[in-house]
Amino acid sequence: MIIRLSLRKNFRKLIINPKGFSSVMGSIFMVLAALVLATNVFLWTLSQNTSYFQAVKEKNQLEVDRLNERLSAENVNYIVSDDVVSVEVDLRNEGPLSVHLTTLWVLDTTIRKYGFNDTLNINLKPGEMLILRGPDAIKVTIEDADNIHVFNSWFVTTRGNLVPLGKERGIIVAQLAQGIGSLALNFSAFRFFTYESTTKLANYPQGIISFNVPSRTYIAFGVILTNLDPSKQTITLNQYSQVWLYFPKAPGQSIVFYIVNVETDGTIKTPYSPITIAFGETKLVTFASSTEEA
Amino acid sequence: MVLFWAHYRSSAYNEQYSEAVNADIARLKERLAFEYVFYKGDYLTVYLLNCGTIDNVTVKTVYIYFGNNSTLIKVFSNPALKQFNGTIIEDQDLDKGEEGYFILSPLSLQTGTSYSIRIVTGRGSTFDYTFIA
Repeated sequence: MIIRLSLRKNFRKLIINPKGFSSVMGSIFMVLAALVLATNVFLWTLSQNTSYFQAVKEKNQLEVDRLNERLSAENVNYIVSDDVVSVEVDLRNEGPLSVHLTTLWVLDTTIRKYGFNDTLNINLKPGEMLILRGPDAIKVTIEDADNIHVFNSWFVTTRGNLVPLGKERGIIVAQLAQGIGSLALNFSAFRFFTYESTTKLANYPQGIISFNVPSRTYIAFGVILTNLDPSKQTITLNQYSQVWLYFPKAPGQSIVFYIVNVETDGTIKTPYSPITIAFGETKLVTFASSTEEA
Repeated sequence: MVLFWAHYRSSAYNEQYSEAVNADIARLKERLAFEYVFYKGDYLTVYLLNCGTIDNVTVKTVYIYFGNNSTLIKVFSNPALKQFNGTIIEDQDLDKGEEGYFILSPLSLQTGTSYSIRIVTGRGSTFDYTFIA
């Protein structure tokens, strides 16, 4: 009771005395201002920390996305022609995220030269498969590259992953079984030519695609051969290369046609010079001569 | 007077803290992928891709180490960035998704030996890669 009376007394004195009142108000204002400033700094720091942790979160998400990229590149095949390496590959996006491919790098490990194609712009949805073969094969220029060289290659994704290409595609057994050893023969394009003169074929190179040939007419045969040698070596056809014709209705009888060189206008060149077929290359080869020296 | 001083100090603190945090965030957003590193005849060619989420990534310093960051061999500053087609990148930086390369020369490395390369960007991020010369 005594204390309360004393406080009231002091408060009255304070109100009556204007100097004391302003000092107290000033102190309160000062404390409030200091509190506002401290709160301001605290909230600012908090907002900055939030921004930083947001950036960390985004960075972590990007890393997770990058690690979740799953792309398989299988059945790879390299075909070289005039310093241009055509890379045939089967791509499959096995991850849960879409993948964008920007660049393909090809390294010729035999001659330690490399090339790249940075104009790919290939998008693959999750689970999507893309087969790049034939005209769709990715082309990379490497000077002095050869079919017999060993290649190594990898894709670069937009997320910065490097995707190595898998093992090279083996030669399909059926492709060779239909051919001769490492050579595949396209039976559906088997053709024959007639003669314009004794040394010139009349309808070269189109010929007539047929297994039925005219009798009592001089003809030559054209076959389309592809080099599918598993060791990727170039195949040379020498002067002894020949096509044998058997006659089911006349057992034991056969006719042999030797290989010849034919110019683009159909003229048969003599003497014969060996024809080479590089790995993966397809060539029309003509058999016209009854002797190995044409 | 005291209030003004306190306000000035807190503002300065806020500014410095903000700058530091923004710099850290920018560093976090930087990411360089090494597409290929090739050494031949005293030349080391480094192909890069900016796969981060921020533009203007510059290459400030490049360190070449023997083995796995054990012995420093050579330091290169501000190598000239080129596009993949060989032309110089005018602004000398890599924007988001941009590819580029630089050549370090002269550099004598032993073929078949493992080396490390460390790139320090203008914002202070570092990116390491190990390669066989």
